[in-house]
Amino acid sequence: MPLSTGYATYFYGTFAITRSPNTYCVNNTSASDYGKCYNIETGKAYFVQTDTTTYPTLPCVSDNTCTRFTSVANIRTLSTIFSYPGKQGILQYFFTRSHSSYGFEYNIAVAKLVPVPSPVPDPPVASYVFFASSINYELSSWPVYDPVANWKAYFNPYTISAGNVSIARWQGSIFTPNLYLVVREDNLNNVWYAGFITVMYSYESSPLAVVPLDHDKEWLPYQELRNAFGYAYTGVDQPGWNADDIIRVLRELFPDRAWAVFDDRQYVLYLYNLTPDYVPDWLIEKLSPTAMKVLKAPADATVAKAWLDLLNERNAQIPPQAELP
Amino acid sequence: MSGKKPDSPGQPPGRKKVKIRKGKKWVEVDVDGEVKKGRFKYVKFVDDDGLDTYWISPE
Repeated sequence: MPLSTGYATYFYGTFAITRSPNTYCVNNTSASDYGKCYNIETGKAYFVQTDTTTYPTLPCVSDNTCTRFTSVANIRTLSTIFSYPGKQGILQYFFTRSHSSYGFEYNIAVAKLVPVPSPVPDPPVASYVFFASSINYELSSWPVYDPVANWKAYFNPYTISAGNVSIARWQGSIFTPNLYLVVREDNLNNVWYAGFITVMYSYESSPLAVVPLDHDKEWLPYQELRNAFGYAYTGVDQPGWNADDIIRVLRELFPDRAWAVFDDRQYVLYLYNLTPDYVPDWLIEKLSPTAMKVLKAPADATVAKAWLDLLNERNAQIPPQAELP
Repeated sequence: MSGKKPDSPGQPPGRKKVKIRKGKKWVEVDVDGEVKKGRFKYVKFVDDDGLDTYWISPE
């Protein structure tokens, strides 16, 4: 099954490349600037304040520098990183840098107000959140160097005017069809957090469009297809949403051309302007379809032959894999 | 003796029935032909959706 790499980045008030951002909010209710956020760079910070009577509005909401939650949450889901019903994704890496009114608690595996990607069910369950264990964090000064370990955390490597800085980095493999960006708020009220998070993962990329696209000759369809469901120079590993959608698009874009679509759910290879005679054995070996279905038999053999020739040509450019003994 | 099994009575000459596994069900289909692709052998028939279909041979 072909895999593709996905990459997700979130900006909640801070920016990736800023060296020592002084993003913070004020949650001291006695302060004259209560509810204000400072040095917001990209996106918005989060502020939890449930008392809408005393605080009908917050300055950071008014000036568009924060998103306010008016109810508390134990684990709050900020975003769905991916959700592939019936498919597999693999969380491989994340880095998160958070500024918050709270910080690490007990040990760094029990973080508060630090957004982390987590393969939790929806709605989230707390016990699934903190999958990485560690006994300590490192006292360090900014900038910190990327360590060779699967989980590292730094607490206050630089200082901000109010609150704490928490940095966590993890790499490994967790297989899950769903991945969410969550924060353990622990039902706290009157707290704020900002952060920058980047996540890398892999995912099953099929079903596939099997149509060698030549961007020199057919720029528009090439561009549309690439934007719509990926592109592979092999002409084979071009992932899409589902087989029916791919077929619909290809029928519209290439009514007179030969193409195939591989449905990885049913293991069916759909053939358009093709018959199995034109399907090369190496493609059958690669996909191992349970069935081939002819959507349209070729009216003109040259169209089918052109598809086969181009596919073979692309395949010949791929270095052969080592043969099994 | 050729050893070839004669067609059953009532079956059109040249057509045979095979059972294929579709999802969780075994269904019997009238086969129009066979195609060999690489290591795999497929039997040809017209599926319920009206499409010419080549299904991996159960044999």
